[in-house]
Amino acid sequence: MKKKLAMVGAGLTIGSALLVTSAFADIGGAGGGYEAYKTAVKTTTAASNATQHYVLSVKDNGQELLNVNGTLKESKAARGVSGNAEIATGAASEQLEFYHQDGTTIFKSGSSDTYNVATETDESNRAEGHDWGPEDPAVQQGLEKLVDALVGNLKNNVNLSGGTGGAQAVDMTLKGSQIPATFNVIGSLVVKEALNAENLHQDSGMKDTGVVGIDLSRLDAKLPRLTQDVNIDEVSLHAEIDANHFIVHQIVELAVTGKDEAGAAHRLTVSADIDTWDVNATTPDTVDLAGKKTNKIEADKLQD
Amino acid sequence: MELLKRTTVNELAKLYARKKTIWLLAVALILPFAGLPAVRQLQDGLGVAGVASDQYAVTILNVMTLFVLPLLIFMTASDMVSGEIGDKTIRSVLSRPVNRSKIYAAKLFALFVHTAGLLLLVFVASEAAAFMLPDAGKAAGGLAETAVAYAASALPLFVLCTAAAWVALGFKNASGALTVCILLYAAAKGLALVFPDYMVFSPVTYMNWHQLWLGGSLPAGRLFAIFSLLLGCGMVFYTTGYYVFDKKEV
Amino acid sequence: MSEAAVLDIQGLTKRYRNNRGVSEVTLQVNRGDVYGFFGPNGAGKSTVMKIAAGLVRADRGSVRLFGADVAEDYERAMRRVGVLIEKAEAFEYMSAYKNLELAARLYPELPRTRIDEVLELTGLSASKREKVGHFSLGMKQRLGIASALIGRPELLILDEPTNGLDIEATVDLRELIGRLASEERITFFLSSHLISEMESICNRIGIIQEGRIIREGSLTSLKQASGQSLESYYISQIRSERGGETNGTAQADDRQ
Repeated sequence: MKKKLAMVGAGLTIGSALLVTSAFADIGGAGGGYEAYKTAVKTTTAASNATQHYVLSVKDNGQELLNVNGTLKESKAARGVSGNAEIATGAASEQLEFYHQDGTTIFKSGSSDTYNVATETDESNRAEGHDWGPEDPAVQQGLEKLVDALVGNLKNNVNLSGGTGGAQAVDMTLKGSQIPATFNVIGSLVVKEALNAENLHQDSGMKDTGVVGIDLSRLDAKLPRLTQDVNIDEVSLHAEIDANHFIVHQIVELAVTGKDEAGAAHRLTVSADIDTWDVNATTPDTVDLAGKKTNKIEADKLQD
Repeated sequence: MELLKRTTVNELAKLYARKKTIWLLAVALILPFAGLPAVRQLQDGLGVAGVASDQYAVTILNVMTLFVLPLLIFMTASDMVSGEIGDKTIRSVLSRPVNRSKIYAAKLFALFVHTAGLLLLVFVASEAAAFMLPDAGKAAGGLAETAVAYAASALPLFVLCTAAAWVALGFKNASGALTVCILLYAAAKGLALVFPDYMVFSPVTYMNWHQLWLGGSLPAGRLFAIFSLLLGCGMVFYTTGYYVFDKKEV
Repeated sequence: MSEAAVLDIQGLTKRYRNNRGVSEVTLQVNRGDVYGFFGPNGAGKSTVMKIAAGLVRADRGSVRLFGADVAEDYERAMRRVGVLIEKAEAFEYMSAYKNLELAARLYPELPRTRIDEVLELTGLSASKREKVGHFSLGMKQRLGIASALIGRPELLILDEPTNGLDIEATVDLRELIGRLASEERITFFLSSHLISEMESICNRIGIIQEGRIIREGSLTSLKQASGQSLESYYISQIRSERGGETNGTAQADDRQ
């Protein structure tokens, strides 16, 4: 009888000890990485201004097809944006400056002196239209719950590592079958449709891009048309969060595999690398158009 | 040890003497092939891989661990425990020179062996099915990783075995135990959606922890935490279950 | 406590929630005995036997089988004991042979031929491949005996072994018990609510009523003391204990 009780006691003790261990081993933080990231996204989007440097890149089988890199200064309070970008497709490249100030949007190509100015008559509407997330906290909470539920156990794949002085890093890599099948199917379909969208491959469609004063036709990125076995192969996220819960550096990568009509295999990788600094200490640059060459363009053309 | 082994063999012998078990094994063998038409439709009709052939087996495992295997475990545990208590055949098991600790252990070992067998069957069947997909060329890729995922998925299923036996101890008929097992499982799954924060300590949350074993970079801390939780739950279910079983008057 | 007692029950008390049960039951079964444990339905015979076989736990008291305590050292206590409680419960989806195979597997030193031996002994050889689900009640009961016999027991605990059997099967069973007792030197502890069925093969008798042993002794001593047939003696004892609450007809009904 004593032996039995000892067995039961030992089993219960070790079992409970393991449960406690799991609690200390941060099982409650299963999704701790996810929670940290969520908080950081909320904090960062709530910031009123910031400066970002970004590099967007699209590669096909390791060869870079498109590279966009530039700086962006944005202030919600001032409703101002300024920035520059260098768009490169293989050998060809194009510089671009842009501003959003006093209700006008201004573009300037690096290869010309002309400032293209678009005045947006319906500025206030557009600004509100961008804030598509309703501010109502109840709705936001509901949305958050929905997203949490959809993310489900993927939370477990979000790793959180602590740095110095309260800084944290969040990592997530989903490969192959870790990517939920529904997400994969829908995502693959979206990518496939996007790659096969007509205007992307019609050079003529880009010809009259004089609207922003840049000849984008030179920049045709020659993206492959994938028609078979389109599959999202890998999704990864790396985010560095500072002590104030701002995302200061973020890399997002998406790899898609598939075959084109000729049956050749492609692996497209799309990556975005974004650095953020001067949070709440950024003032967008402005350009004084007085005495400069300008060209008025119609705002509705921009919206195309 | 010898007696424990023999008692386990007995439990398995009873299990596989049932026609029902054989039918369910056949279902587990056929199910992985049932997903083929849907995937073929995606690949031929829409041109997206959807489920690439090297990922097919894991996708099947995702579905199996969510619903099919738990159900099979519940059925087996209900028959093995509640069924025998109900029709009093448990007496012919208990009134032998074998301690109840061994009998309870044997019942769970038999459940584990059966579950592992089911996993192996599903693994073989879904890999075979993967080779029937149009992109079968790469079906062999990731075979080792898939095998690891299948092996890993055994742990939460084993914990589910201990939980199912625990529940079944309270019933005198297999169908009652089965119903309650299913309801409890569904409730635990549902609660995890509503209160994700509170359900981190629910073993049911980790039915698909095998996904964490995929993709090369193993999140060691998370794996350790979940492993401890699952093992801890299993031990608590097992010991309390044994305690109840030992006190059981039949 | 006798040295020769293969079954030694001391002060056994067990109370169920419905307030039925047994209290302070003490009895010994010695090697070579065919101990008849008699009493009306619900008197507590099965409770004592279930506790003796380790299926039910006593509130107080102890049961020793071959010197080993059932609650403490079950495996040693049960090594030389075969049990049949109430109704033989076999796995109906398996054949008689498979059922016995399950039982035989739990006695590691047993030769496989033992299964056919007990089938032969109980007259089931012809139906050994049949599923037990198709068995008649009598066949199931014989299978229960075969299953109890499988481990070459020195003590058989049989609770109401003739329950549900027709007269012919009852006689067969009685003969089998007699043969096992004399030829195989097996000790029996068997219960029945029908004393007439078993009287002829018993050498010791205990009578239990409402959870208490009211008479115990050798068959001859009880007979001599009463000067009448054992059945009449049994009924008179039970009636006197009940204080004349019941009558003979009620007792006769119990036989059905």
